Amino acid sequence: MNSFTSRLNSLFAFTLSVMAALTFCCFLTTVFNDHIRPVELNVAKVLVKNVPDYSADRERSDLGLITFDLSTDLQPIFNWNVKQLFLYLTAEYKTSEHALNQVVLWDKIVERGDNTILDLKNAHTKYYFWDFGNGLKGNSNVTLTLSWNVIPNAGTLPKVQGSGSHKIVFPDQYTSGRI
Amino acid sequence: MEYILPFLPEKIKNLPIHMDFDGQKRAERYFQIIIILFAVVGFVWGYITQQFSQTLYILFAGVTVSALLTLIPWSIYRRKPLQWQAVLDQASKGASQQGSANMTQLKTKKKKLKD
Amino acid sequence: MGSFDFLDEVRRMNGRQLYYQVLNFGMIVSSALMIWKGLMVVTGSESPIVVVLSGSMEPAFHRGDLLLLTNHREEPIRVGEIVVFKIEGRDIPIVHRVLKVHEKENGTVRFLTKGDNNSVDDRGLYAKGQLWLEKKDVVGRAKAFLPYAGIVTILMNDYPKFKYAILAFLGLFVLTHRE
Repeated sequence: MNSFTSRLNSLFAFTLSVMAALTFCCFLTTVFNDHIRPVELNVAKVLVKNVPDYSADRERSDLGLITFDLSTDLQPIFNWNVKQLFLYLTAEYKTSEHALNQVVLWDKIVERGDNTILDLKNAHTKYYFWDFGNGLKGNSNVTLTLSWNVIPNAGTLPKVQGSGSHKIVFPDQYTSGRI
Repeated sequence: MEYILPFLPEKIKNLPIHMDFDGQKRAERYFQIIIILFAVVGFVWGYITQQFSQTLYILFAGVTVSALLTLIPWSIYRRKPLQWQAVLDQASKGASQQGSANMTQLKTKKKKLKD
Repeated sequence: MGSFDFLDEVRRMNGRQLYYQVLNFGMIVSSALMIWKGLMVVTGSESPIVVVLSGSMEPAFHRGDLLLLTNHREEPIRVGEIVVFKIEGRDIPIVHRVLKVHEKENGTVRFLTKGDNNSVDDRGLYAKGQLWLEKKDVVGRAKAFLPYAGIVTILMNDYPKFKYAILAFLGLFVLTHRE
């Protein structure tokens, strides 16, 4: 039977289908973007300490202490299907115990409309750089990279590594005492 | 709806609120065309401004327009009323047969409209 | 339409029609189950579609957003990824981002997670004494995202009566409507 409510129902259903189709088309227009941007990274202070990790197993572990410089412009990544970028600064290295270690040192959420130009000087890390054991002292192959996870309005969640990295060389001696 | 019906004045009760079959078909066509048109325009505009929200706002505008035009049983949807056959004499032979034939015809028509 | 029309509808059906309606209902349920199980095989995840139930990943994911997961065994777990994991003693899986990864040569991996909207990592959420997550805890990794699509689930969770009302209504609708 055709009535006001039945017409409302079919109108609603049709609107929903059109909305789904539009969203999918919007996703299709952006699916081939590579989202890669150049990033300049540098490290100012590099120290390593050997202290008990009270946040984990209380064993004496290596704690890296660094400050970093970072500059990039992410404006070109933002298109009509990007809601937010989740930026994270990763230190990746190899130790005798683990073939691959990845530690996030700093992160930042850049939403659509936020300032997309990042220019940090001598910034402190947001998270402690704890190694799982004692693999940081004298480690000369710790790679610092900035990556981002693109959060769309709808669609896939690509994880992209910025082009440009920095190699940290940790000293051969532990620093003792405060700082 | 049924509970408030007896309290409505005659004048309002007598307002025609139905659509004829042709009107129902046209109403459905109209809202589909309007919504798709607004969706296409919105998609292009959203792409130009790089704001998907704009696309959705334009789509909702289209939905509002089509709701106003096709949800309410305007009189343009009552232009082709069904031409019922004249009432036959009850006594005449075969009246019931013809009547049932008429009914089935109507039913198939209704089904078509539903689809 | 009156609220008890369906009783008349049932009364009007004969035995064969009633039988047909019940079979039809069974068909719908079993095809839904087939799609779900099929998705499980394709994605390798025990629950390929999840609804975000908490605000701990805001502003990326809000309550009621839908996530598509995969969990292929050869896919490595890396930092920055959004994983869905289960904790012993908790029924509801958690959707959080990987903050630290330590992977051994043989592939065994230990990782730590954190919600974007939380100020500390997830060690407080894990089981007592648990410091790291392992591969067996992972239900899936978020691969695609659809906003608002799971809002009905949120309503059902928040208002259990609403859930039973919807289930009863849908069941009756399928059983009584002929086409």
